[in-house]
Parts: sequence; structure tokens; C-alpha cells
Amino acid sequence: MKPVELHVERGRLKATGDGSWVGEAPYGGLEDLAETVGTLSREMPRARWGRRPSVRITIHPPVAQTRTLEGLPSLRPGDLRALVAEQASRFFRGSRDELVTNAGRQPGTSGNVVRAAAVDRHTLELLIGATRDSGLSVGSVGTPVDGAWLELLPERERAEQRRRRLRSLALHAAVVALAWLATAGWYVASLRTERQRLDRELAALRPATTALASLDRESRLAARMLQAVEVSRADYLRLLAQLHAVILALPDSAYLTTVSLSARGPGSVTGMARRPTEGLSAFRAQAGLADARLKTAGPHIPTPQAPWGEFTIQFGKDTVK
Amino acid sequence: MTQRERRVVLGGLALSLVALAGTRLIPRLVHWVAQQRAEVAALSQLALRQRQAIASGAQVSDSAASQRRQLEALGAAVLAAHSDEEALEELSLRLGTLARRHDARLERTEPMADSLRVGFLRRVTIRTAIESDLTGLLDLLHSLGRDSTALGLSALRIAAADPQSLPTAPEVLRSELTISGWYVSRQEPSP
Repeated sequence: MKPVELHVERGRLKATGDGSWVGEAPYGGLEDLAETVGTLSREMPRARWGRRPSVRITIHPPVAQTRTLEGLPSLRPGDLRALVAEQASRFFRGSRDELVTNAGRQPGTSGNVVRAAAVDRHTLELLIGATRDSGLSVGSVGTPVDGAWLELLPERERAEQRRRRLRSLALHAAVVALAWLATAGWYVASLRTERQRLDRELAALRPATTALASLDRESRLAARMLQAVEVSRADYLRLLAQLHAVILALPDSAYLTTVSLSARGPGSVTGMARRPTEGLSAFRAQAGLADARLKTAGPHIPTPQAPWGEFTIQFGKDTVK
Repeated sequence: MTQRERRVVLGGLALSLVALAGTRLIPRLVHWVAQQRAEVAALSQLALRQRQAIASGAQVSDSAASQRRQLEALGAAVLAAHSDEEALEELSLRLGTLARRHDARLERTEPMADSLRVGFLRRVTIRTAIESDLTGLLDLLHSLGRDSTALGLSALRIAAADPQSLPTAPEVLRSELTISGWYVSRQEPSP
């Protein structure tokens, strides 16, 4: 947004506002200066919302007195301003108490050249007061001297401006902090609400889940018990099947003396045969005894003195872990 | 105290408060909020799982009902006993009855150490020596399977009483059977 400017010339006020707005109004003397400022301000287009527009007031000579001073001692800027203010009546028309002054060294000049400006305190206060009364805020008051800007806003006003800026900053910070606090508070409150809702829901579900868990536990236990009995039954059937397989596998040319069977381990048979290897083949031919192996065997060729040879056949694997 | 001094003191106080909030208060607050968030997420998951479990409760009930029926059937298949001693006695008694029915002679019965427990069920095992012929032994073994009690046979050893006997001599087999049975214990079920 383009800043609003108010130019104070002798007998005339000019104002430039937002966009291309330009206003001009004459004034007779100090007595109607405030009213003229008010008139111009009212005509100035303004945004309906937002901050009060800040005005830069430029006081042109001869309303402001400007001087180029030479021969002043080489001083720091603050001291130089104090010196000019102290000796205002020496450099400007009017007394020290009636004037608001400012001074600054002119950059880019050789030697000790100082620019100085002064404005009548009463005029200045009138301008500032009228501007404020019109709903505008005074950003700066000064006069151009040799192309450079010399600020003429009184120290009291500057301090006031600083205070206002600080207050505004503090207000903004407080608003932001409050917004954050409100957001955080809302979030925490929603968390607490959700937590309470979940607690209530879990409490309502507890009897059902406890009953289900108990049922599940009982069900698992029952399944394990049934399985254990089933395993016993399966062991019995396996062993019976082995015994049948042994009986069926035994050839006519052999007989058994010992049968040893185990539901979970290897089994063995011991017996007598004319040809033990024949017995082994018959065993291997039986389902369930396919892995039968000859453990010990008597003489391969039976003699009339010993027509039968002893043999031991083993089968099955140890399945006990 | 001048205005400037007051400003310095107030500024220092404000800075201290900001530092305290930045290094202690806010991190703790953030940690607490994160913790609350995690707890709410965990509770939400828990509630979801419990709702699903309850929704599938009908299946569990069906499964439990089916197992209950099987367990009721199992009631008839276990030994009528409440202790190891009673169970061993019952098992020996049943075996003796079966042996007599199939012309087998029960020579001896001795209990074997068995600590197997499944839930309320407890297993007892005996080793028994029987004298019979092959037909009598096979009938006895088949009767074991037909018995309403869930008897288990885990080992069997058969030996001819006299291997050198003539083929015309009567067949005599000495068998050792390791037989197990289950009973319902009064003690707490095993986990």
C-alpha cells in the first residue's frame, strides 16, 4: 500500500493517498490548519479494515526553516543535534523553546558542512494533533534539505511511537500465543475425551472379552485333552497294524521266537529260518515294514546238523523326540 | 528504581520465563501429549481387536460346543478313578476281565512311572505279563481297541515260551504289554 503523504507549504496543504488520489487545500493561518488537515483526511480514500494509515508529513520551507551550517565543531551526531537545539536561536528565527530542530552532517561533502532544520513547535503539535484526530497515525515528520530527510518528530512523539509499536508487538504476540494455547488446549481436550470414551468402551467390552477369553482357554484345553487321547488311540492302532504285518509277512519256512514292537520306536523280530534272507524279502514286501533290515543271521547254508538258522530283523524308526 | 532499570529487570524476568518454558515446560508438555497420543492409539487398537474378537465370538462358541460334545463322549472313555492308585486298580481290573474273556492268563501287573498330564486328564501306565496262544493274544488286543475306555498300547513283546517244542505241542506265548489309560484328576488342570 502506498504511504499517505501530507505536504505542508505556505498557505497550502497537499496530500497524496492510496492509488492516484491527490488532494489539495489552502489554509489561512495556524488557526485553520487543523481544520484543513481534517478536511483533507476525510476526503482521503481508506481501506475499510486494517490498521490506521500512517502519514508522512513533509514540511516545506518556509514553514520549516532549513540551513546549511559551516564551521561547527566536529561532533558526534547526537551531540551535534544537541548543539543545534541548544543554540537554535542563533541559527534560526525564533527562540530555543519555540523550535523543534534537527541537524546532520551532509554526506559526500568535503569539510565540516552541516544541514539543519527547524520548525515551530506549536505548528508541529497542531499538525500532529490534527492528523491523529483525523484517524491517521503520524509515521514521520520532517523536511528535505539538499535532498536528504531531516526528521523533526519531537522526542516525546518518537518515544510514544516506540511504545505503540511495542504495545502492538506485544498484542500480536499475545494473540498468537493465545491461539497456540487454544489449539493445544483443544487438542489435549480432544485427546482426553477420546481416552475417556475408549475407557468406557473397554469397560463395557470387558465382561464379554473375559468370557470369550475363558471360553477360548477352556476350548484350547479341551482340544489338547482330546488330542492326547487321540494320540494314545493312534499308538494302539499303529502297534496293532505292525503286529498284523509281521504275522502276514512270516513265510512258511520260518518261525518266530520273539516279537518286540513299540508304538514310537523300532521293532524287531527274532526267529529261525532255513533261509533268513527269504524272510527279510517277505518282511520288506509288507506295507509298514518296508525298511526292514537283517540285524543278525545264522549260517547261510543250513546243514543236516543245523537245518535252521537264527535271524533278527529290525524295522521302523525311533520317532520319540 | 529508574525506568531503565525496571525495563532491564522485567526483560531479564521475561527472558528467564521464556527460557524456562522453552527448555523445561514445553518439552515436558510435548512429551506428555505424545505419551497421551500413544496411549490413546494403543487403547483404540485394543478396543478394535476386542470388538473383532466379540464379533467372531459365535465361531468360538460353536467350536467350544463341538469340543464339549467330544469331551462328554470322552467321559465314557476315561477310567472311573480320581487318583493314580484308583486308576491303576481300575486298569488292572479291566485288563484281567479282558484276559479271562479270551483264555489268557494274567501273570503279573506292575505300575510304571508316568507323569503325563493334559488339562484335567492324567495318564497311568502298567506293564502286564500275559500267557496265551496267538489267537487269544490277538483277540485280547482287539478287545482293547473295542473297549469303551481309551486304552493305549505303547509297547508289546511276545516270546515263545518254549521255542524248541514240537509243532504238535500246544502254542504258548508269553507277552508283555505296556498299556496306558486316562482318568480325570481332581487337581487343578495343567497349564
